[in-house]
This record gives sequence, structure tokens and C-alpha cells, in this order.
Amino acid sequence: MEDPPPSRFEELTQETNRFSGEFSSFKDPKKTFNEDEVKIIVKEIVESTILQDSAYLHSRISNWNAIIVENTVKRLAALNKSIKYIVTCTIFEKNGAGIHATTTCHWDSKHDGSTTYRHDTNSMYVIVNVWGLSV
Amino acid sequence: MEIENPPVNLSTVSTSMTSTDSLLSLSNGNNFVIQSQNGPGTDSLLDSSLQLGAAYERRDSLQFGAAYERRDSVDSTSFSLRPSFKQKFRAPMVKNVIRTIASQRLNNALYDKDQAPGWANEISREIKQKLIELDLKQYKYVVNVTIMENKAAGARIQLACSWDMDTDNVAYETFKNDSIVCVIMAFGVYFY
Repeated sequence: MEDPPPSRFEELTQETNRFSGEFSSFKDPKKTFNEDEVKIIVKEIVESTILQDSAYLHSRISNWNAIIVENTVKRLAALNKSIKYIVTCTIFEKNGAGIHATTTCHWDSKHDGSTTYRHDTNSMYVIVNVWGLSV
Repeated sequence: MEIENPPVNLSTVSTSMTSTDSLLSLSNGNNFVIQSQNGPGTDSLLDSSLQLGAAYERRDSLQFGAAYERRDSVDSTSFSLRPSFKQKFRAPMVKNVIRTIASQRLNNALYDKDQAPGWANEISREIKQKLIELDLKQYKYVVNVTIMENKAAGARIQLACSWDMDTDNVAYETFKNDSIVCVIMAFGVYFY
């Protein structure tokens, strides 16, 4: 014997549950950190600032560093989202030294996020970290 | 809570000039007390009719207005837009925390490429834990730890942020010994 079809009340509750479930997983794009978008922006800025064959000169890199970091923050702020940004840029010489970096965060994992962009040239490594925290 | 007969005698009522939130509570049966939190303000006894009127107004807006603005990660009864000085992320204080933890963990350590990621991980977790224990309300934390071998390579780290300078801050510290250079940055960002 078949089960009786779900009553109209049950159907409606299931529909509303599904709808509210979808609604609660809806991420407001104006408040959520979008990794891909940010990666594209950082890539553009780094590649336009540092030419592929440049050598590591300690006096030159402070300039590059400042440019990359400032332009990234300006471009991200211009996206006009309600997100606070933190951008760090590390440039160091290729010398055989090893390096390890870790980040731990205490945030709202639904809306906040981070990206890292790495760029290599013949003589140096460039690492750009961007953290976005929604307000 | 229902307020049927407004009380005739009002005992001490204090209001704060600068607070952005207030709690209404009925206590001791007939006494009407308006409490406000997180505000440096002056206590003053206002005209009793004014208080009553204001109380009813505020109560309605709290019930209906605040409900729609409530967010999951914030306690709706003690929400504030600006932290007081003690509740702010204070860089020198956090710097001390970072310094102690780094020197404890890395004193006399030799760079080892297999162990270094583990150290970085542990240090950042420990610092994050200490920050959470500071019990500052509504703050989000990001802790970044970089461990480099000290081989006389040139390096430079630069940082820029788009945030609220009044409430958000960074504490950073460099730890060096003969074989390791460790840079630790701890950010505190206020969540409105």
C-alpha cells in the first residue's frame, strides 16, 4: 500500500524551508570578499609595476613595494563594497634562503576571505597578500 | 514585557549623552530604570514626564527596528558603534604579547625547512588565541607569521590598509637570531 501523498501543509512547509535555506546561503556580493576578482586586480598591478627582467636592487624595491601596495588598496576601495582591506607585499632576493608564511584568522568565514598572489622573476620573489573583512 | 500602569514614582534614572544603545528593564516591580551601556556620559535626572515619553518611544524602536538590524555574530542587547578606549585593539599591548610568544618559541632555534611551517602555524595559532582571550568585543583578528632563513638576503615587507583608523590597528614585530628572521603581524579589525 502506498504512502498517502504529503498533505498540502507539509508541501508548503517543505517549500518554505527550502526557500529560507537558499535565502540564508545567499551571499550579498557587496559584502562578500570575491577572491577571483581581487586576484585579477593584483596580477595586473604587479605585472605592470615590476618588469620581468629587472634585477633586485634594494633601493629600487622600496619604490615598487610602495606602488604595488598603494595601487592595490586604491583599486580595491574603488570596488565600493562594504569591506575593509589589508594588503601586504613582500619582495625578497633569490638567494637560496627558504621562507614559510602562515596566516590564522578569527573572522566570519561566510563573508570574509583572503588571497595570495606570487610572482617570480629571475632575481626575486614577490608575494602579495590581500585580506578582506566585511563590515 | 508589558507596562500596564506607568509608575508614579521614578527612582534613579541615568541617561548617557553619547550612547547609541540603551536597555529598558523593569526591575523591582514598580521602578522604571533606563540603563545605557558603553557610553561615557553624564548622569542627570531629567524631567519625569520627559523620561517616560522617551522610554516608550525608545522601547518600540528597539523591539521592531533593532530586530531587523540584528546580526548573528553580535549580541543585540549590547551593540555599539565605537569601542571605548579600553575595548580598543591597542598596538603596544599586543606587541608585548607577540614579543613574549616569539621569543619563547624561537629562542636559539635553527632554521629547518621541515619544521618551519609547523612553527609558523603554532605561533600564529597561539597569538590568535591570546587575542581572543583579551576579550575585546566585536573585533576580528588576522595574524600573519613569516619565517625566513637568515642568509643575508635583502627583503622588504610593505603594508597598506583601507579601514577605520579610529578602531582598527596593527601590531607587528620582527624577531631575529643567527639563522632565522621571523616577522609577525597581528591585525585587529572592528566589526560594526
